[in-house]
Amino acid sequence: MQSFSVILSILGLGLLHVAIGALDPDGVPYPDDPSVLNQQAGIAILKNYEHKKRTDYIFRQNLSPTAKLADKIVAQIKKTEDITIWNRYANSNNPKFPGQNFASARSTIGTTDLFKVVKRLPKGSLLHAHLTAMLPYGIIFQTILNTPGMVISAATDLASDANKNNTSINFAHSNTTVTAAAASIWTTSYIPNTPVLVTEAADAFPGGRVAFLAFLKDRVTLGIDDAEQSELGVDAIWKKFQGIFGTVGTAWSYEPLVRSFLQDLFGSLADDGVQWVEIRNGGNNGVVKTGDSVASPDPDYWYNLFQDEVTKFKATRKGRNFWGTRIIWTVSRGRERARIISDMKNALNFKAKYPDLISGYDLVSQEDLGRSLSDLTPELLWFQQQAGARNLTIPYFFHAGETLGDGNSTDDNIISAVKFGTRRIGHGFSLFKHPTLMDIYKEENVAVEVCLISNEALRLNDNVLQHPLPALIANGVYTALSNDDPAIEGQDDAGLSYDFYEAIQGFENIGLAGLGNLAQNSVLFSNFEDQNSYKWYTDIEEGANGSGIKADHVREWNKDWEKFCKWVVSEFGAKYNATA
Amino acid sequence: MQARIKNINAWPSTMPDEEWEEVATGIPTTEEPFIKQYVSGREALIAQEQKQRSDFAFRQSLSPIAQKACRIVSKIRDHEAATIWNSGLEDILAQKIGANVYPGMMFSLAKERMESTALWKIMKKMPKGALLHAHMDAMVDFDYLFGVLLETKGMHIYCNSALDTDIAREGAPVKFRFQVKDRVDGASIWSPEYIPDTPILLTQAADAFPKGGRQGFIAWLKDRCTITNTESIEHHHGVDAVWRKFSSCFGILNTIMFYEPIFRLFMRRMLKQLLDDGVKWVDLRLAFVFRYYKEGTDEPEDTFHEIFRVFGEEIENFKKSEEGKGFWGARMIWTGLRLLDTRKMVEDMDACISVKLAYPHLISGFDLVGQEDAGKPLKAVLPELFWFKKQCAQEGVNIPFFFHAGECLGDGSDTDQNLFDAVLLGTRRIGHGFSLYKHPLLIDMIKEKKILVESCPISNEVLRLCASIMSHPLPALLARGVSCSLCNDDPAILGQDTSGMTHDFWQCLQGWENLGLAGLGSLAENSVRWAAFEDESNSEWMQNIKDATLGSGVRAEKMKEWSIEWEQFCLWIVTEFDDDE
Repeated sequence: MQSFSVILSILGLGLLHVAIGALDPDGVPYPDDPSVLNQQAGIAILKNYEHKKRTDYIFRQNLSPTAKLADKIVAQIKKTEDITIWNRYANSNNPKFPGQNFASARSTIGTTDLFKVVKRLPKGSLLHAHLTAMLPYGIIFQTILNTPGMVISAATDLASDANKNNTSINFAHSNTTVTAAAASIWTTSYIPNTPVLVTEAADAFPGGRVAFLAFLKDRVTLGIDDAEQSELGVDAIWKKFQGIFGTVGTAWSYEPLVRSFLQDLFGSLADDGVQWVEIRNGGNNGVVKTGDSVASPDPDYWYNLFQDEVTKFKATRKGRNFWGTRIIWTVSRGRERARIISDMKNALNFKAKYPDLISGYDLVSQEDLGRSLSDLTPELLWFQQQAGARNLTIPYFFHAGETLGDGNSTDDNIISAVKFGTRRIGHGFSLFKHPTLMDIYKEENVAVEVCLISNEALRLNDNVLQHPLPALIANGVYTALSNDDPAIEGQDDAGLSYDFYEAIQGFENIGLAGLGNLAQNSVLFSNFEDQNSYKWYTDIEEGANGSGIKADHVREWNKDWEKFCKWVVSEFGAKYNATA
Repeated sequence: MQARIKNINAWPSTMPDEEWEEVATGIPTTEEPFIKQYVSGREALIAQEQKQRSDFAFRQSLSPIAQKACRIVSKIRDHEAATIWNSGLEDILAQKIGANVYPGMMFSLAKERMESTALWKIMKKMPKGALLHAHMDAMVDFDYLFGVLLETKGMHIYCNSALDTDIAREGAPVKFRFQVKDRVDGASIWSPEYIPDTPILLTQAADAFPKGGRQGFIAWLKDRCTITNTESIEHHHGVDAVWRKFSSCFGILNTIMFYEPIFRLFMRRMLKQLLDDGVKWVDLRLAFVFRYYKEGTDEPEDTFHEIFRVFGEEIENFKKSEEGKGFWGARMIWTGLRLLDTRKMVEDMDACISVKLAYPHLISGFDLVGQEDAGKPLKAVLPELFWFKKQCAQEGVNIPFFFHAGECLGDGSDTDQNLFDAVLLGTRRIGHGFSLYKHPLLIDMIKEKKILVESCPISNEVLRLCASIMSHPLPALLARGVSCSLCNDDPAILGQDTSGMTHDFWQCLQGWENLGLAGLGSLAENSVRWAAFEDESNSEWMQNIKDATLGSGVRAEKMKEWSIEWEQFCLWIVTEFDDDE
């Protein structure tokens, strides 16, 4: 490595070497004194030198004049709103501040100009999201309430607050006439696990249907209270978080609902400027056919249904520019070997049957408590061997480093993941502590799916300002923004806008240009089609200059980006008084 | 490390037995060559990364006893994580503050429990070398200081408004001062009749405190001078809010501790606590925005020469005393306030140079303090700093910079960019450097220029830069090879409640697997290597740090002394805690 003192001396920036000239009446050098200017020039050069290492350096270099202007305008918007909306410099105890925790900032964010900008930004692809935690539960529970035959049951009565808050609640469809329950689910005489019509339960809820819907939503989302009690720690919030999936899984099991949810989901993604989505989802998708009460025994039913809905959506007006979706097969990492292997076999069988739909393989649920990738080595190597033997391309897209640890088994997952040839990693929160690994991730074009709001909701950071994303970008690691579980974690919107907002609000070094680069990265690292590692790697290297689907999409995104920048200039240029 | 699976039977296998038997034969065992190859590749990668660590050389040269001590400590750590720091979490109702106990929990919630652990006993005993970042006015525990305050004859309390309501008592700028003649006849400071700015004899006022008399008074004063437990967990209110409280503490303390009799007792308490904690040297920082009073006078000194005379005297007295045996000493990094205007800043710098001329052995450097985010960035005070440099050169004194820089969140903000200025201005160490991990180029420069980062993990947590020790970025700097030391910053205000550094050491040991006792040893050794023992030119400073134990000066001598203590300490661990190894 070149010596920095050498660099500095070449630039004539040896420390304190410039003589001080004229002094002001206090005897202090004027701000434009050569000694002062020399110091300032030194910093400018250093900063520029540092920026060359950034992942977004080339993207920034290639910005069109319009995009540069848009970048300036948006910086001005942020600066203004930091003061007008977020109280920067206000010496008061008003709890607002720039970069405050997302849960309590959310309602204000929606009113900002910065959010308007971000909302419109072409987001490219959503690369990390879990199916049942994507579509806001307000829509889901309302739809359930409107669907005849839907029943609710609970493992205990829901009379006390404690039971209301903790008991597991399930939904189902019943095709027989549900007789009015002997006792309301909200009283102590309720017989556990008795199905009750949802409409009946809702009407009997203290406060009626509106209150019922609010109660259900509160049960399955992490809120301001959870955010403000970060001292309770990661394991505690995961306990609550994981419990939610049981309930919402049952909401996603009845065919008409699933179909309707999928349309809503794709629609809101498209509305948010997301054109491609890779959804993580477990393989066990029992679905209850329309009019039935029990899950269809046909294992293909769900996959056919899913494909159907994608096709249907792409034919709608909204879906015109939607590129599509694939599924990353996931299984809980808590399971023992036989269970993992049998699930892997399923994954391979479905991959063979639905090669276009199944994109990759991953393990989910809390990394800190589940089996480490290192512990799973035999299974993971076996899987690769089997896939190879069957000529199936089903690469890994591992969760890794979603942890606070430094040198614990979860932290070590980021080492194992890259050794297993993962194409991206989910979270990579602890990656910034590993200089050698960051270099390897860079060299091997492994991208990190960064989930700012999710990490905050699950207590890895208190607010966006504490998130290590800037360190990854500064080190040249490829990153893309994802929203993970937006229905649970507070975004309450399937789109990516809130996560994009957090990134630009948190970090001066990102700005609109940096955000654009993150969106472009998401396209660059999408797994649009089965590719061997070589083709995957070269497609990323070539970007818009390549040939094939990926290059097409990158070029399309680039066009949308220019259009968007033009819109920013015409919409906000005058208001924020910025000129080229 | 074994994964911590709680209930694997929750998902029984659904694969028929005969099928499983068939599949099972196809699963490779860990003895298969390609698995072994995978595992060894993985190990090699970890080893390659470890080589970049700043503590790599230290680890390589550990004696067999030290290695054993490290293994023992790591076992104790794991054991305590699983026993003392485990509340089971089975009962969701236990999820209330305090009931839920886990490794790496917030400092203020963990403090009491940590002080009862074996790790604590070990950390307490550890030779910690030098404390390189500590603001003197926030060093001595308030139980002691306020006790002294109340016992000191002639101390009075006053305020610019009556302290008659909860709101007034919460925020009004209460002050203390010595009066030659006791003033006992004014209306009570706790009543609306109080005439603003009238001094009232403190003992009398304390006894009349409306909520619990003297004891209530002390509790109230402590609340005013510390980040309370409640405040320390209210992280969602953000950095600026906690800094408002934090800054206000100093205003009160500055009227308490700079009356000579109190100051002398303060010094003795601080030095004794440091030495008892295994700290042999301290580079203090102090902002000179207070008035100093000699014993028996209520007229303040015009200059800061007298306080430095006493400062030096107390250090020498302590070193000569029985309880101060083995203490190396202390010096002062003069700190100006970063929000001063040019005129006042230059005045302050001038005062610094004048004291340096009188007491060259006591002033070791210059720094700027006050919340970085709210004050002027270094780039805005370049004219002043260049003036200072020139003035020092003219007066023939050597006062190097030891800047605070990057004590902030954010990325690319002005505060974050102070790091660039600090490096270019030739700082010898960086206070905090919290945001440094986001700057790969600066990291390389800092390594090359042998700049040490004074890391203050508990301070950063309580002042809301990170949620807990677990999310502190120090491991990233160590992994990159940056030399760092651990410091306690403002322990009396922030909650450590003692001058010593044991809490900070303990937190790091428990927080990070990659650190361990060896890593802590390296951090302590660094503190000796980068202490400002004496005036050195830039080239001497560089050379002596490079030479480390192989040099010939004070630094080398102290480093050798530290390493002997380290060996003795490791031996003590082995004798005391080795049960079955």
